[in-house]
Amino acid sequence: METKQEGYEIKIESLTKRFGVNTILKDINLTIKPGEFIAIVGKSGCGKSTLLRLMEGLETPTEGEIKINGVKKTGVDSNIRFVFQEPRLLPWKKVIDNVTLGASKHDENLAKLALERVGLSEKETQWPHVLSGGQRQRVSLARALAGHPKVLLFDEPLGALDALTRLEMQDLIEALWKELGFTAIIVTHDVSEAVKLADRVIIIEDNDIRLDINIELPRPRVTGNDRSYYEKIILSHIMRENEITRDYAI
Amino acid sequence: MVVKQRGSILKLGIPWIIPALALLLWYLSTRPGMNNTLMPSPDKVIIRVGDMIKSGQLLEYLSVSTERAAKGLLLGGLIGLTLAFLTGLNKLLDLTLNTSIQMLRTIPVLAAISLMIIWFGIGERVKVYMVAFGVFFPIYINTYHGIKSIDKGLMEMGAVYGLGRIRIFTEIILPGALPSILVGLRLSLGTMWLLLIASEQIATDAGIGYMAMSARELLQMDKIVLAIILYAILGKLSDFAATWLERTLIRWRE
Repeated sequence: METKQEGYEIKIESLTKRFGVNTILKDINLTIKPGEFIAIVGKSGCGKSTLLRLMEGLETPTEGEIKINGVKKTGVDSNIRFVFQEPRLLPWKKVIDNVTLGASKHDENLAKLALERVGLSEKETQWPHVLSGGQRQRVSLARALAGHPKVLLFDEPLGALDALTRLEMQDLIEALWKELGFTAIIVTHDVSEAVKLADRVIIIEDNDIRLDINIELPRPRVTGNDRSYYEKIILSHIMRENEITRDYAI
Repeated sequence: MVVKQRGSILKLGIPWIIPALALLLWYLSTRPGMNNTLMPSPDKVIIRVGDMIKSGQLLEYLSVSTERAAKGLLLGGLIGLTLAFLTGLNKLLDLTLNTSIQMLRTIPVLAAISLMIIWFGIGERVKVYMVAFGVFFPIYINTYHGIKSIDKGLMEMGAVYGLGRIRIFTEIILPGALPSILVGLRLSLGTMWLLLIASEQIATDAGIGYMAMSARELLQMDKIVLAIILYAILGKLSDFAATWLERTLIRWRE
């Protein structure tokens, strides 16, 4: 297969986003290193998805800018791919054709490789509607991978899956990230998911970054006290209940 | 296996029980000696069919009617599709045209028949236009609705994956609206025959509607019944065609 690709650096500079009179994000500054795995958490409606959509180019900043490898971001480009919460497969295309849609130059061989990576080679010629929810999301992951993106943005990609499928998907995403070296940014409301996957967790609240914390744990991360420690800290910042941490950090 | 086969035979057979009973009842109630001024006996109708086939009249009427129907469907359908794609895809056209078209829809097409005769005379054109007018609305409305109800998420996905406007149209909008378009087509096929009957009652000398009308004036019961049967067969055939189209064009669904 192809060599490990270098992820892109994302630099967000005094970014503000308003919809009409509503300020969604206010003066955000953030640098994401190449190949880093970032998780963005926060309550629903805090603007975390909007931040992701800004990075993709689906929205334009009201003020400030986003630089990808030092170049100002304008519009959508194929180096940054988006995995949506729903699989968003075209029901009238077979699995392989859906994946080919994401492949560079619509090369079917790249699509086949990507399907192999997510372990769904044998489903190539199926219609999406016969797949399970988890399989569909894996196909949509393959579609994103087929274009060899330098940055992968995940918008609560596992939110609609059951607990077991979720764990499987988390392992898959982590393995692919390690193997391929893209920069990964995942928006989630699942704190344990964030701690399991990310190098760095960012909490967005009140239109701003409230916490930016490095998760200093070796991978693969298993459930345990170390993870719980980070989960408590992050949760306490989201819930604004300092007692939780105090209780815990004996 | 045997049970399965028997099951499928039953499935094929059961829907035909009532039509068969109706036929039997018809035969019994019009057998010689019974009063058959209100209903001709089946054999009379069959004899009439034989006569009309021999004289070539039946084929002529059928082909004349089918041609009118097809022309009307093509004309109304194409206009409906084109307009729906214009209003469905363009905001400005949507605002300017859609409300007016939706208002026209509330006019019963048959009420416009007098106006149509004054405008287009009583010739061949008025029949095609009537059918076209009636067929237009189901196709327009369903196509428009189909385009409007396409999942915005899929369009966004198309944008993220760098599909241009043309490919978004051919790979997302068109297949997405297709099921609705076919529903429109199926509905319009029903309207098509209905309007054809009505318009063929206006000064004609050929067609199934003409056959029914002239038979009524001469009180030829067998011919009237034959016309009704022919319409039923034509309606069923167009339904088959619509189902076949749906099956071949929309294979991605179960």
